[in-house]
Amino acid sequence: MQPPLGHCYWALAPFAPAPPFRIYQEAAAPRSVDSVEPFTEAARKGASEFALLTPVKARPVLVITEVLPEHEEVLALRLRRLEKLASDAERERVREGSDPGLFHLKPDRFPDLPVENAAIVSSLLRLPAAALDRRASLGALDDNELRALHERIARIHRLRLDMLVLERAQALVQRAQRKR
Amino acid sequence: MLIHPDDFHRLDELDRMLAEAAGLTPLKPSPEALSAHLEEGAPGEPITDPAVLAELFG
Repeated sequence: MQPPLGHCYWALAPFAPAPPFRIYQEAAAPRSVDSVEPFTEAARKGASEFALLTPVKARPVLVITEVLPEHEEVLALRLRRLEKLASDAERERVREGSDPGLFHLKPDRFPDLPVENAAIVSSLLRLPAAALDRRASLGALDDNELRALHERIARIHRLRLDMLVLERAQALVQRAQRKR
Repeated sequence: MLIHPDDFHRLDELDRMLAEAAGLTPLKPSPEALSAHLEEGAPGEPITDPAVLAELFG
């Protein structure tokens, strides 16, 4: 099986649980809880795990990491059909790469997506590898596109990567000094 | 180790400049991207009809 990094697959993707939370009960209708506080109160009493009824959707996602071997998980992004965007002008902005929040998936690279799509840069999902249907890739980004997408994800989430950049810069300076 | 105040300020300034250079410029999503995020992240109507489920999953 090919590594999933950069590929689009059909997947079973959950929506984030939100109020009203619906707790599964054995042999009874789900119990509705309107806010998070009753859960934290229950946790203080030692009862912290429940089965929530969480909606899921079978949908194509773009995988942006390798499978983390320790956890068998990937990070992935939800997609947006270009036909759902408000105007032709916005569709063109996305195709040109001018909308930082929507990363265009070129149809020639994603021939098995039913329609033209963009990845929603801010829509990070953590998925078990088993939630991906990896029988067939719907298409894949090339290395340059993946690098550009990772940069956008870091910037849109305001990740603090400065220490990593500084470490790399220092290592390069030290290497250059040794060569002298 | 003792360090001269002038050297300390110079190193402090260098550290600040390096951190500034290494920092990422935040990106602001467009209104379209925000709508896409909200709409694609919100559930619709789940299929709960037992007959439809039986047909789909056996």
